[in-house]
Amino acid sequence: MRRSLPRSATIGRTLRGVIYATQALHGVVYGMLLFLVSSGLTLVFGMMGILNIAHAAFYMLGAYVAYSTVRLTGSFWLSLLVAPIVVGVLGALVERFFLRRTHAFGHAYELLLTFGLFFMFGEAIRWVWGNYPLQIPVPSGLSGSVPFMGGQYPVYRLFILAVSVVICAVMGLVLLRTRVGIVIRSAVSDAEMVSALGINTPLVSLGVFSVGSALAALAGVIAAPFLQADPSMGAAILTDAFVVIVIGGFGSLLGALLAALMIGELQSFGVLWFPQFALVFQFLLMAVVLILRPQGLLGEKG
Amino acid sequence: MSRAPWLGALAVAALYAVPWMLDTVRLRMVIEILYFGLFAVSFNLLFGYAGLLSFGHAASFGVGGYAVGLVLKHVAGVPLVVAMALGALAGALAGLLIGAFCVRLRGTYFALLTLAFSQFLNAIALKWRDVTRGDDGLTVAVPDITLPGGTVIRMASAANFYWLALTIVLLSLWAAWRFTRTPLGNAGVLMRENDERAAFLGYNVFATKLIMFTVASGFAAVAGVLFATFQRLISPAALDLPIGTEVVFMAVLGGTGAFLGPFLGAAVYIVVQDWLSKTSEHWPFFMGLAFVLMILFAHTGLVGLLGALTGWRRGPVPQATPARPETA
Repeated sequence: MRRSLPRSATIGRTLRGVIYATQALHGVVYGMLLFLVSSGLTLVFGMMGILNIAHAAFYMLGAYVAYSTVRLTGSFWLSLLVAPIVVGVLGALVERFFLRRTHAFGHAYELLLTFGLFFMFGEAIRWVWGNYPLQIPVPSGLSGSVPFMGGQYPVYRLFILAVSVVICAVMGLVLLRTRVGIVIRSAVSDAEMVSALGINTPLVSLGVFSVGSALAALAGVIAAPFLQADPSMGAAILTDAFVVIVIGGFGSLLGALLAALMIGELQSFGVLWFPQFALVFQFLLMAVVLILRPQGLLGEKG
Repeated sequence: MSRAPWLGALAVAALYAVPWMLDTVRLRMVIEILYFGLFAVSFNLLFGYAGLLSFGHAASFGVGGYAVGLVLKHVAGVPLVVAMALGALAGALAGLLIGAFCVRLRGTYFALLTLAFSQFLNAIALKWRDVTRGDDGLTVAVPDITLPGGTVIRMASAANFYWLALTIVLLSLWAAWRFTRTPLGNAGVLMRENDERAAFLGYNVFATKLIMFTVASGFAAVAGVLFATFQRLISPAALDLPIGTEVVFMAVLGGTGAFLGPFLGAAVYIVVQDWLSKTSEHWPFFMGLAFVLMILFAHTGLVGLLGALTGWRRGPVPQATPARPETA
């Protein structure tokens, strides 16, 4: 880092400042995207005790459905609506007809099932859309850059940030301020008790699973113009999302938010300072958290 | 097995006769089945017996492969079998170290921590280029075996390699099977069924699981050693997720409820994959579909299916894992 930038003079210092600030913002943008993906994963784990590996396939599917929608209708904005609906329905079907049947065999088999589905969906995507990255153009209103700390920052990344902040806020409001939110939070902490109180927990699970899938798809849509729709994007975000929900604590939404921002920054600055070892760091971090504090930063179970 | 020892002897004799029955291409496939079969059986020592689902079983497989490759490269004149033994030992040692951290956790937490370790090792193999040659992989030069009488067994011949691999795999399977019949092996099953109760009964849960993990890692490393010496190359891919997940596929496909179920799964997986990959370039889809259907309708695997069809079963592992609330 120090070697690649001018050493002396105030120009060097401000330039370094701009690069740090830009890199920090990159980290926040990726962190929020990661949060969108991880939120569904962590809520589903909290409620049903399943680490849904197929979640990453839903994210990927979101990007590809968006690609097709843009190709057919020319509207990126429509794909923001279509992809989450399609994938949300698919998620509901998976929960109802696959996961629920496997429940009796124990958690290991549920985990294995979602793993098989991930594999299957991933290959189905390659089959339908081809085994190469697809470019989705940045919508016209969001191309270009804006001045940022004396430099330039792409508008589209700010759009990603805005969308994820809005969704995060809506999710927070729903979970904290509505009846449905209370039911979901109670089901996360004790599903059996909630069920005993006369609430249809299987229906709540179905809903949470479906909405979680839709959120993953939405993340896929907004990621697509920025990262391309790529058959390997699922596996790439999957390991990141695992790290996030482990560090944040299984089932904790606030934990996932904090951890996602942490991982976003870690990757952003890791690439800058230790390009060789950015990947190693996050697995090391996950290992350390699992060993010292398996319940994560904000998780309750331990 | 004990009821008809001559049947077992006949089967072993038939296995040794395989090189005279198959062409080289098929023989190579059978060798692949041998070491992946052993790998799947070693995975199942953890999953089927001790109830520990590892997503990072590739770690010890890869460590074994790298260890044998490095020993053969840096120790001049080392006999092949000694290098192989050192590779297995290195894998078991890696298992002991990784296991010491992992076996305190259960369920998903355990699966994720094992995954983290294998990804960690994968990243080291990728980045520590001076030792591992990174992405290019390490070429493994396999020396010929010189018998005490002075006879030289050439390893370039697929048939010779097959006989060596078959001997090693049969001995390993026998040792692993014996291990599952010891009181310690039975204690492993107790860990799966209810480790809290086992602790109350006075079992040392941590030590039992750690030994299971180390033993399973050792056998996985033997498989990795054979993989590396057969392919004559070991690359970071051997430590990566696809191999770690393939072995899960194989074990579940064959059936985790019987000792040799995963071996059967590996054989079927490799034969079907070979056939499917010639038929359709999208063979992973059909593999995934088969896996999902298997879990939905026959989660006891091919062995369970056979048992249900014929009313015959002899698996030493009772298969009823109760759904328990998951805690770290």
